[in-house]
Amino acid sequence: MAEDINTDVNLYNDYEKNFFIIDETLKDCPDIIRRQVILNSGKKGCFFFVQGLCDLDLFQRDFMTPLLNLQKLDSEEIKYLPNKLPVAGLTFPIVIDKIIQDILAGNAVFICDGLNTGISCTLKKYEKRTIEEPDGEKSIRGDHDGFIEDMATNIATIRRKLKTPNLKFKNFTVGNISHQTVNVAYLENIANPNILQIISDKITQLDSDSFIAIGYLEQIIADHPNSIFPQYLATERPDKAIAGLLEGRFVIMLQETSFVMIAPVTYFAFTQAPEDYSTHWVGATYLRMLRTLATLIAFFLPGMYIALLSFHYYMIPLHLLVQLAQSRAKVPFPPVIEAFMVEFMIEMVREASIRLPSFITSSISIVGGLVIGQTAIQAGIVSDLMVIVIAASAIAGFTMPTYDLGISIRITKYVIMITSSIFGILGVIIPMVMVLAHLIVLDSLGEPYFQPIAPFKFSDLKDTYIRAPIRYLKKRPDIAKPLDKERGKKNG
Amino acid sequence: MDKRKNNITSAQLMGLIVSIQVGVGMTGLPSNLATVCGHDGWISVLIYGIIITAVIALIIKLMNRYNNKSIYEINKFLYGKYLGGLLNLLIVLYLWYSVCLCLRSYINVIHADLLRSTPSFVLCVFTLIPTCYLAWYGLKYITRFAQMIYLSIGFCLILYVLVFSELRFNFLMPIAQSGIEGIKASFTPCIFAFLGYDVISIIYPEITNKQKAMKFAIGSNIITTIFFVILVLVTTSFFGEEMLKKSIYPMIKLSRSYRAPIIERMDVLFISVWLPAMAMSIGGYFSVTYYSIRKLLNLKKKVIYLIVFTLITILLSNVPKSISNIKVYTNIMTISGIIFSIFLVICYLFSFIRKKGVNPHV
Repeated sequence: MAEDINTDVNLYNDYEKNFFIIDETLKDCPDIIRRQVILNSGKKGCFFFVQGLCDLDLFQRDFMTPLLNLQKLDSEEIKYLPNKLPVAGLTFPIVIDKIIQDILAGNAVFICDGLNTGISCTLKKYEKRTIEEPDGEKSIRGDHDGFIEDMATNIATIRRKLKTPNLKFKNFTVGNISHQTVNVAYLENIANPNILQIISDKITQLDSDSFIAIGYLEQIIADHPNSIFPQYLATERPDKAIAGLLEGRFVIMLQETSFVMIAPVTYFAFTQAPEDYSTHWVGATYLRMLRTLATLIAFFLPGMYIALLSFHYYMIPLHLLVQLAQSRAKVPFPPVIEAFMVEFMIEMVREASIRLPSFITSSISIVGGLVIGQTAIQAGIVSDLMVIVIAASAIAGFTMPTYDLGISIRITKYVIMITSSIFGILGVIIPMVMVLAHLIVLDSLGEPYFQPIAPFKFSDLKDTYIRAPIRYLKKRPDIAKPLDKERGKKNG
Repeated sequence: MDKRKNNITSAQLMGLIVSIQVGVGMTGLPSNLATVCGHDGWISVLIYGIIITAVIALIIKLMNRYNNKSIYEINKFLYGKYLGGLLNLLIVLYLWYSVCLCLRSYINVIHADLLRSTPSFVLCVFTLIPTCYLAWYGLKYITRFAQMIYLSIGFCLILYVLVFSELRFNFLMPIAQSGIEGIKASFTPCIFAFLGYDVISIIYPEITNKQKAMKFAIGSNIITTIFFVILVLVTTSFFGEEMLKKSIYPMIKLSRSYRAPIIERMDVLFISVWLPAMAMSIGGYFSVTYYSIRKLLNLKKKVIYLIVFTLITILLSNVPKSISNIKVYTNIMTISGIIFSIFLVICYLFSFIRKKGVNPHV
């Protein structure tokens, strides 16, 4: 039985025993090839590799053939082996467990009679996606490349854009079953070592079988796991990651996922798009303002409308009130029910269109949006003003460049809609204050989440609601407590 | 970990004190002043503002003599264990009394002007929800929130600009008609409006950059004084002395009198913007009191204590039955506030005689 075999031992001198242990551990794994050979010197040996992870051409040419042609192979000779094998990654593991890990990671491993060390060679070649623009984060004036599922490619992407020896990657292994690699990228001299320590502590304390997506990691290491607001910025865009690194933040990369996580971030990082920095500052500021206004509308407009309609109709101007009364006259429901019906409709159309192929999506939106919306008004189920209000807030919610914040906004909006229908304008204000209070309480890796507003940092304000000209953005934001506060001059 | 959550900076202290002072004082101040000294209220505000700045300076000096100690520890040094303990108890009771009263008078503003049919009990609960939430996390977050007061002050100033064309400065003439008598008579309403600076003596040990505390504490009082002077000037010249005497909350009436182009009932919007900021003046007192109780009784951080504290506060705040009733209670608070300030000054003088625990730092 494989479980009875202790693999956490050094290789024995007995080749047969070594082979038996590895073979027995890897039994019923038909993808793992065992190629038994007899060397020139007459010794028995065996190659292990995973079919599909290993480049067979290279394996045969540069690893197998030279080894077979060796006149002599013993523990004395192995010192000169790196000169004789023309391969890049060559290690000599001595623990059986390590050998098995290497095999599973895609290395070709050779063990042989008379050697109490294995020869492990990195000859990885496997199918991977090409670099393409992430669908979820389109950009008009930004780059069109994205991260992919392969960590080595992602690291290379970052390295290609930041050619500095200060770009460091701290390596961790997580997942008791999956044995995934987590890399924390940062720029030495800029990133704060205390925050790196916090991240390291959090990642080393992880105890889970596997992390299928970066979201798993995010939810576990979040400072406030029960908050609906995202505390780390998940992105597929390399330019966002680079910008984060240059501001002294950390980029957490998980093997086999195309998303990376940027931390620590403020609330405002979720309302910013990379092309804000590549357009003229006036235009960028305009877009920022637009998004701010859109956030407010997405949060509060339906709640405010319900409150006004239900309790404070004297606040509505008279001309509008007459129109409103006419459109409401046919509707038998109270405003909140009406609002939720429209909202529910929109949510269903949204959810349905995400999963479906794009050619069906357009017909869904026509049926859902136009037909049902129009007929619902004509049938007197909802008033037309309500449809306008709810649709406006839904569209305002879509202006957010990140998906995570959108969900937070929607949930908050529903809560406000319910409270406002019970308590009137007080039901809008108290949740508003609560959201603000909650944002103030939140931390991202121990740094205040609502940073440039509370605690107030005047110098950081020029990159939140407005985007000052690039020449005035000489200081790095304070959120990541960077060691080197100035951009330029000392560090390139 | 728990300790770090109470740390604040001097600049944040400024926001906290401004929010407590402005939130408590602004609604009633102009009409109270008009009743006692006519149209010369602004002179009194200016004079008392300067006096209180001096008092704040003395309090900070007292605190500087004892490095990293609050008034509770200082009392034990100065008056011994038992008398000191009794004094501490009185201070906490005074603070608690202030919380309840501020909450009540604030609820009254909403109740009288905005939500007439909502029971004040419900309003109390709603107002305290955000405060409670922040107080649970610590003083640091309350003070961060308190910075919103600047936003509200800004909003007020915009309102003043909007009504500027309707102001009649004749109402302010002749200047200083009420004379010294008027200034004397306006002692109580002025001091009540300025109350809130006394919390410095309690939260002083939590300030991280104490060198700047003096500057910012005085700065906070200057901001409040200027704001109050403008407030009294505007309300007096807008309504006139006689009209002002009859209105309870002139500031809200002012916002109601302004005719905005599209929005009817400007006051609802005004109160909406003011509500959070004013809630924070309660929040400031609330969290300082909660902090004091925890400190004195050595309580652990537990939800149940906060809930009990909140419930008692809500119950007590429902004791006053009418606006005139609240006025009586307000007087008690003013008097105890004055006594507390005098007491702090006496402590400062006494600390030169009894030098136990004195540890001045630069």
